Amino acid sequence: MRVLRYLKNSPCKGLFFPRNSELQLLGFSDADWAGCLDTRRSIYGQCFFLGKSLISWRTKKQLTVSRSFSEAEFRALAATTCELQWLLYLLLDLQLTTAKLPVIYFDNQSALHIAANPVFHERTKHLEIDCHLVRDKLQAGMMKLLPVTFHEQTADFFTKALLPLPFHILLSKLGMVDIYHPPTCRGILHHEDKQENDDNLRSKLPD
Amino acid sequence: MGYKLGYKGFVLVDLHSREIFISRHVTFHDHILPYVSQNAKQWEYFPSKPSPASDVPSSPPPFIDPPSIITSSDQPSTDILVPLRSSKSRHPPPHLKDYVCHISNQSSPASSDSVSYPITDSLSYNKLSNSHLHFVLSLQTHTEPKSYAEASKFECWNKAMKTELTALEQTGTWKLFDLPPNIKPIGCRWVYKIKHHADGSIERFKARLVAKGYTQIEGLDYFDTYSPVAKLTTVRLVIALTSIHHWFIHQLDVNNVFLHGELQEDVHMQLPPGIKASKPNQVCKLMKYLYGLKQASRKWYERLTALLLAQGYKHANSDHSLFTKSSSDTFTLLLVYVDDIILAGNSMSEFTTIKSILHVSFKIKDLGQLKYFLGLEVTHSQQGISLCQRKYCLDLLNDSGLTYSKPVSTPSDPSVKLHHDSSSPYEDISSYRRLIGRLLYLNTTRHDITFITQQLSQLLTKPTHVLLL
Repeated sequence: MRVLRYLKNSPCKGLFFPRNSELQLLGFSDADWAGCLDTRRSIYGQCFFLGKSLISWRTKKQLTVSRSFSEAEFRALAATTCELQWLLYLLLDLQLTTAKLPVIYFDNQSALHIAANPVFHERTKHLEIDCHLVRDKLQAGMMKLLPVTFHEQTADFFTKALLPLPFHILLSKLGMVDIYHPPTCRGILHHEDKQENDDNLRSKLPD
Repeated sequence: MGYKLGYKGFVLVDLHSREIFISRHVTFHDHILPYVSQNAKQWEYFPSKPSPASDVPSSPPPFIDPPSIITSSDQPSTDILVPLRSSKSRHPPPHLKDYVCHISNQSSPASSDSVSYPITDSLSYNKLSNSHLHFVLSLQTHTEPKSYAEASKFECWNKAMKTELTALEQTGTWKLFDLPPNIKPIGCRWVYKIKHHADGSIERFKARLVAKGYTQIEGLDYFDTYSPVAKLTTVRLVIALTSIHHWFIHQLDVNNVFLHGELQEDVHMQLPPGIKASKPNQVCKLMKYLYGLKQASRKWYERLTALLLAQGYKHANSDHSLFTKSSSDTFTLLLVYVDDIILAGNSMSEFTTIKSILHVSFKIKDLGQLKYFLGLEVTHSQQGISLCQRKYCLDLLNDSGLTYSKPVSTPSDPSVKLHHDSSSPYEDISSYRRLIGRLLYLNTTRHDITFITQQLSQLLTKPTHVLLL
């Protein structure tokens, strides 16, 4: 199975929570329109960082069929808003009220306009509940929405299979480390040699 | 580092500024190998109080090396820094002498001559400090028996079962009765577990009798159930905050968490394996709670909540397994995952207080700094805290027989879209589902397989052979 062979590549990869991280929630939201070939429902992905540490992520198939790309994106945005609300409640319970204003990034211009503009058109009528949800939270100052370019869209990672290059670029952004990863130079070397080199190094390098 | 096409000069890397540049004025120092010291001890596990963990244990725990990685377990006493060494002497090719190489490659029997893709290509223990290395290796060295038939062959497990039965009988957990008509008793089984000390040595062999609660019928054998299960996002958030605020983070374990309190319902259970019935058709009628019963964890949660609220802790609304207590300058939080408890905060004195209070009511065990929780391995360093599921992932690879498979660089193939199709169906549906279940749990720390797990779990009802390629 391919995913297992991928895991073989780095079985000890894990999350890393750096100490020098800010207290700000950053969310990313993305959708793959009609991504499921069997039902033509969309798949959405979201992830949340606390400063630099990734704490929450999700890939999910939407419950209803979306007729347009913006609609799929907007439903994803509404789901992300709900998750953000929960995270904020959690932070409140942990007495962290000093955190900066959370930001949700997403890459769809028209969904941004739907969120900002209180007009319903024929094609957004059925989105009304989601619209109200996002707008209310925006106006209450719970979060702010910012556009992000396609290349910086981290949530892309959770909505589609990527080619190796973009996959690894995004993976490095998501703050994963492998503390068990061997040094890149492979080969055979006797242990004594290593010790010797180590000693050499210590004697030659100034402290 | 090498040459670049179209340039006359060497590609160099500045070790201090981490910049890569090209220069023609290069002096070679063949004997200075900067990465030797950088890699060696970066991931120091530092204990919160000076303890023997920072020294080398006088008698290293007798661990067998990870089965899939190294088979020879010769540990010379002089060689403390790198315990993974083969007794065989190997002679490296002379041209490799100047390179820093991964040390366990040479000791692995699976190095390049026998297997093309040894696991050591992707796994190395060199960066860990010695005490933490002992700890992580001991996690995977011993395997626990899966059934009574398997365990009853070993003296240590027989002894453990006897201890447990004596304890249960002393507390009056059950009474023996003849099976009343029209009642189907629920089953029970043994679960075996090896408990470790903080340094990785074996603390004890533990056998626990559990009831097969999944055969209980609602309204008859039980009424309400609830399990305090912390959301994994909460666990990650707490660890992230601990890292940022330099909090203390400790782990507690509650002994025999469910055995307190009288059982109200009538529950009949089959005799546990290992007890001989004096006459046939005899069953145990449970008087006290037992592990595995559906209502057991609810009762425990009720008692814990009452105790913590009395101590001034506040119940969080966003996650019911989270309790917090704050004063002007101290903050303490308590996160419950059934019988495992994480304690985090900035006040050591509050830690001591709450630990002693919990100990009086429930008999807890203080496991010290958080290291191994729900299969998540937590490693602390100066730069931050890392969370991984190394053992879980290696076990998964091992059980699926792919430890020596050829690795690929991405989890899913972008050219293939998974969907229901008419290709030949895969017969062993339950093993497929089990695998997906394990992948889902691996998602706790591995977000890189989230998408493919979602895709694969769409096909749980009708897996095909295509998926297994």
